Amino acid sequence: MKIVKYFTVLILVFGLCLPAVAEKRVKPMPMKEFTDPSSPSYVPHPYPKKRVDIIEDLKYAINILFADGEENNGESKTPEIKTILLHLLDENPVYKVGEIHKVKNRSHRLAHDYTWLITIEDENGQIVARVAMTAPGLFASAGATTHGADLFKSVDPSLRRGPHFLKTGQDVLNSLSNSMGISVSKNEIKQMERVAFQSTLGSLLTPMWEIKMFDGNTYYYSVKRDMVYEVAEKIRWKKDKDGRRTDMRSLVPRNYDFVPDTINDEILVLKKLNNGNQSNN
Amino acid sequence: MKTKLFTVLVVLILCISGCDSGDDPPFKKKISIPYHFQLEYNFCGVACIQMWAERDGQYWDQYYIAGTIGVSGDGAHPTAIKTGLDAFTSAYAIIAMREWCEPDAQGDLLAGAIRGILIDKPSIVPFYDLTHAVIVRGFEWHENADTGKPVAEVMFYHDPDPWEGENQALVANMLKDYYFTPSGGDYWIILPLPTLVDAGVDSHIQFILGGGTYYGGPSVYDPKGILPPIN
Repeated sequence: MKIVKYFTVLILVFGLCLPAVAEKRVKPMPMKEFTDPSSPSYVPHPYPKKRVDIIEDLKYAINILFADGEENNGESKTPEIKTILLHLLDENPVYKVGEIHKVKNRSHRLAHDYTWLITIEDENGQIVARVAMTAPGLFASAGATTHGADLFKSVDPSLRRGPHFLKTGQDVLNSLSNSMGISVSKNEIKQMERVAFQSTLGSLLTPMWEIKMFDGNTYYYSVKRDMVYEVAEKIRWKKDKDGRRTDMRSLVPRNYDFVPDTINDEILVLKKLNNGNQSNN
Repeated sequence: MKTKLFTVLVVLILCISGCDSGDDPPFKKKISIPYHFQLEYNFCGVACIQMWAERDGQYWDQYYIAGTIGVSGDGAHPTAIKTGLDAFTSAYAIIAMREWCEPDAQGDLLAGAIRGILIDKPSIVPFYDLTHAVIVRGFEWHENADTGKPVAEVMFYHDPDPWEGENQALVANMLKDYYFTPSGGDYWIILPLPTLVDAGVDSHIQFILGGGTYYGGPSVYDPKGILPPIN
């Protein structure tokens, strides 16, 4: 009898909770959309996990979206993004796929909790472009990387980009240690991962790092600003009865940085722990 | 002889007319815009104005533009960006706005931006709940079979944020569902000419007449009395 009671309670609890969780994110498209070759969302390898499958999905997307000839972007020294991507289809490509990273997605607008960040490198290993791919393997966005280009020569040397566009975990750890004034070791860190918000501080193409410590603290590192943050406040960000959210900037104190986390209906108000590099958004 | 000449002329005209905008769907067109990254973290709108101005043949310093239009610590208000475009470029700019819950709100605005590209004019599109702005330099699109309205497929743009950089490409669905989405406010784009959104204005009015809720534009919706700037 007890077992039946427990079972009933469990069913009720799951029944109440699951729809609430499901509503958090946009509903994923049915698998058929990705496997049917006549569908606009077809990909050769739905939900790719292996590097080779991710690359094949990327090449398929380039063929579909951009394969109608290269372009020369007149006055720019940065290659046209389309040109870079099309080179990946060559037999002996000038550019090649470099590192591929999983980025956690903190926006309910995407159906899945991660995207792929694919780097494209030149023959010297310099990152020349980045591509964001959704979890099912669909092309999302891409951008040529301007660092190292002549345009930065007029800028203060401290603001120029180094060759390591996407910093390593150790780089981030060093920044965290410098900002806190104490040495932070790997043993103190529970989890480190790249996260994308709908924010200039950490986007799909240039994600932030989220560093969860064993002591319960969470820190964020914005590669763009070379800034380490701690969470000063979490503001509830509910929708009103019409499904509209309040403009988040009207909720956050001036001169604070912030990122929206629509999965948890929160705005994270971030306190700067170092001086960073304010000249770059 | 005359027939041959006529045929050659027809072929030539067809070739020329098909050069830029494409004569087969998806249509595509890109315009050249010199790239400048933003010199301050709150200068994204300012850098967009600078790029647009240089496309129109004039070079203006970002700090001068910022001083002229007024930029707060958080960035330039959309109306300031419009003022800057009117002052420093050949645009007669308009802030085209749609309610967040209007049917195809984003599509209406992007259609205006595509029409702008067709007359060689950029637009400025906000990202990330109006906290950032980029300058649009091209599209791939198709036309709605019933309405003829251009429907964006890929958007090409320069992002003044140097970490994102120039020559960006974004699939339209991602633009609509992720980058563009103001979670709380309205959708808007700064277009080079008011006439580009005529069709959109009609649908906006129909939406309101049909009982749609009008919350007001970005300068009106301001629950704490703080105008929402963008950077």
